Amino acid sequence: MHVLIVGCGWIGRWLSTDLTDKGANVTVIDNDPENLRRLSSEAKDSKIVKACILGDGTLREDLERAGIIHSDVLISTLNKDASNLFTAQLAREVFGVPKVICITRGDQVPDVYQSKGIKVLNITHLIGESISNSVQGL
Amino acid sequence: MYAVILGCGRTGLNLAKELLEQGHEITIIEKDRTRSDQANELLGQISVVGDGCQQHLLASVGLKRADVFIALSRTDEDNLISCQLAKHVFAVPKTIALINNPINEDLFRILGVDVRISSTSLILQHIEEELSASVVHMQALGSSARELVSITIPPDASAVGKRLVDISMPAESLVSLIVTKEGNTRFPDELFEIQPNDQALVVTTPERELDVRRVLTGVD
Repeated sequence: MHVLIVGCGWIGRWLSTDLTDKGANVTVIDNDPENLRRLSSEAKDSKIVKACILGDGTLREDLERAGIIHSDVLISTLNKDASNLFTAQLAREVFGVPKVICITRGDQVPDVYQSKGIKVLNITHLIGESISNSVQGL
Repeated sequence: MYAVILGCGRTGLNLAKELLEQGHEITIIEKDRTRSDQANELLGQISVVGDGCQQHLLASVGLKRADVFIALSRTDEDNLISCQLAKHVFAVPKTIALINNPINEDLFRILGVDVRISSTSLILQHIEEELSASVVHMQALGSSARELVSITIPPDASAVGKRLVDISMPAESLVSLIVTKEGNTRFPDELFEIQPNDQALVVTTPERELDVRRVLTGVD
């Protein structure tokens, strides 16, 4: 399984390490060389180091360079919601990536994205829900 | 009409000014406080500072009652996502977006942005129109002062649909070969009818060149 992770912040790094451990072929794209260096130095598996691409995850030529055409899954973890929604729609509508996951932090987004086959995960909401559940369980 | 504009660059500012003069109600959303302040100084209190991709901000400017949302920021992500929010969350009847990177035009179209403006494409189109009406020099022919030039027939040229016999070519000038839009090569006889986008290879002289262009393309 080919997984393309857009954005190499803490979510991107965590996901790329975890999914590589689980046997996926992971490629990571980020426009900040420092982020990629950090992933390389943290990674135990040298496979990840080879799969770091320096580029802008909202630009289709850079996504092509990162192998979006052969990707089974794309996970967009950039730090701006609009960029993630943009990249996710690019992946789905233009490149036809079978499974697209989009991370957001701000407002709940309209249903239109889910209905296009994009799984939107609002981490603020998820974290809040999880904390609220554990408080209720006390 | 109530219009909400995203982005207070030169385009946004001039558009707002124009629409205000026409008696419309305008709000401009701008990320940069300095720019927003400038707009307020210039046009009255019409600009708010904030991120046009945030729903609470869009709600606070009354986007629900807007007739049109116009996204003119310098990033395509913001323009696309804000238009989608305007359409799907606030049910704005018409969304208009500036496309900064022309490659994104298809995405904006697929995703239902009603009117898409790509400055690069607009400029390219004008240049191409200009070029298509121009004379391309192919070859000087021996020492006879004759030359071979190529002219592509614009779709709106007066010569389109006319037979060669009905076109009064300048002296010493002859349409000698036609390459059609589909790439077929024709030796045109008198009854040959000029079609849009035909490439005409013409033998002429440097002095008659502009007359040939005028006759075939309508451009002086």
